[in-house]
Amino acid sequence: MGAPGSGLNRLRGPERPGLIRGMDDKNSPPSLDSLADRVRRARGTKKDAKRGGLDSGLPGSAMGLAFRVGVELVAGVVVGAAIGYGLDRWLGTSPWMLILFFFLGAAGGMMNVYRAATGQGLSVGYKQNPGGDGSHGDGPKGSDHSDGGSPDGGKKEG
Amino acid sequence: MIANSVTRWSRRVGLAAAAAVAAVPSWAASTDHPGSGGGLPQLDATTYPTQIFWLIVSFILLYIVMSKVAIPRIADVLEERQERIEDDIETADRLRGEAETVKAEYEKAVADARSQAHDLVRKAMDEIADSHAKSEAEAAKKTAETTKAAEARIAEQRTQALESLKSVASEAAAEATAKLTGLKVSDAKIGKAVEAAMQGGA
Amino acid sequence: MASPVAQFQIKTIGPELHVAGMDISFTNSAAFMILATVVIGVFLTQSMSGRHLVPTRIQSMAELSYEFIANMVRENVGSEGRPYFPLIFSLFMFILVGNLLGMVPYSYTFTSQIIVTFAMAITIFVAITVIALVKHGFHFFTFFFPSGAPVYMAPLLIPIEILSYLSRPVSLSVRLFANMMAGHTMMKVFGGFVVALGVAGVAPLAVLVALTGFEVLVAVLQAYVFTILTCIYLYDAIHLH
Repeated sequence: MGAPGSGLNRLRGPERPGLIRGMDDKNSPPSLDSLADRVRRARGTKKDAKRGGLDSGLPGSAMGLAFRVGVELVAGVVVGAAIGYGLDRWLGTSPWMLILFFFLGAAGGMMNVYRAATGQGLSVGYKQNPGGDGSHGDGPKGSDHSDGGSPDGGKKEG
Repeated sequence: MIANSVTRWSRRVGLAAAAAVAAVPSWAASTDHPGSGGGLPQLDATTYPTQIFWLIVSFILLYIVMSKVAIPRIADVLEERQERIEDDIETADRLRGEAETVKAEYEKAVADARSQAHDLVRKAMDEIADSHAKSEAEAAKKTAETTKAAEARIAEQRTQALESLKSVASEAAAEATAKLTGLKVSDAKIGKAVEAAMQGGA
Repeated sequence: MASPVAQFQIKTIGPELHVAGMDISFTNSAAFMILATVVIGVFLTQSMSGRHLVPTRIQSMAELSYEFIANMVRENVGSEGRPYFPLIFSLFMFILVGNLLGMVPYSYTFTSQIIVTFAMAITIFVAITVIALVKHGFHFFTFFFPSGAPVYMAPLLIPIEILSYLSRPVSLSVRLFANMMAGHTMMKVFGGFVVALGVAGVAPLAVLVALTGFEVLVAVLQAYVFTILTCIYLYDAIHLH
């Protein structure tokens, strides 16, 4: 009984599904995934463009920083000397106030130079670089138009 | 690259400062303008009121133009574009979603059709196999019957043959006995002897 | 040869005007301030008049400058900087266009006038100090004492901090003024060499060409530095530390 059936088993066995399945592999549109990709990229690019704004200006500010060192020192000394001179004339203590404030001004100028030179960016004050703080939670300024979309989503998805 | 430009920068600035310092005393003396102490024109305090005044005027003018006309206009256009872009992306995304649904449906339909076809084929094959098996069984049965009949016939004929053989043998035995011995042996006795002989021989 | 600093001379244009004993005559410096205002106004309004969805070249320039400052304010001041955006944008454009107009031959660079830069810087400084005082009251004065520093250092640190704070408008204005003046003086000097040396003037001419390109960069950079420092000072005033 078993022997005559074996010829047919070969025909209907599971090793032949390709006979039927073959058709959908050829017809499936390949563009859908690439479209999803492109949509994601379109959203991502916008984010990049927004973030790139200041970065592109930073090399410039590094150059400005170099020149700033000199100006900062001079400004400190000038302000100190001017205040000292004014106090001397007012109090008649010439030239002590001028000397004192000259050095205080120089110290202030050096402080500014120090801050400019050590990662505190261009800021004057006791805190981290405001560029880092300001960009976090704070909403957009002026360009609310560029913020309507997915917040921070674009990059992570990809 | 930055370091490079920085050094270049500082060299330039130093040069400029030197040039300015060197230039000021010699040339400034020759340019004799009213109110100037003979130094840099920028240090001529008599020009300060007019500069401050016009700075205020022009900057206020600029601020009004900017805040009332220019900035709203740019913001408008940018907002419009942003909305449009987002809209387009949204649409693209939505259409992609729809296309994906359609694709899923299509794939499901194809899969259904495939499994259906598969079932059909399988069923058809089962049927074929069944009918095949059935006909095979029938054929086998028929063969068996024929064989049986033939065997029966053979057996019958054999029996017959044996029967006839028995009578022939009995007759032959009786005749042979009569001829050889002249004795007349009864049929019953002969039949018994033949049967015994055949049984032993068979 | 004319003095290389003669280019900074203030010249009266038209009749002399005296108000309350002060000379406020229209001058070459004033003319370029007004011109800068007009140029900015025309540039920003006319370039956007098409309201193209896909910007034209000039429109995208206007948009870029807008977004550049918008990003600067957003990243350096935060959302509280929003009301000051028109002012900061105006300031940036005013200095930028003033610097760039100065690069045009025979023009006048009003940003090379210390009084102009100082007037801008001191106004910003006073305004920012007022903003800080209004926002934080007397708490503002803690700004002058570094948190965490030993108390016995206060008599030394506080004057230094106050001086460093007061030197802000000076450094802000001197930086812009010195850059513009140095650049223009240098260009004048090299220009003089070119004329004086005749055929041999090719060498200084090459320097002059390089210098001109460099000065354009400086013009943009200094406008940027002035504006970003304003933003950072504004951030200080709003957030203290």
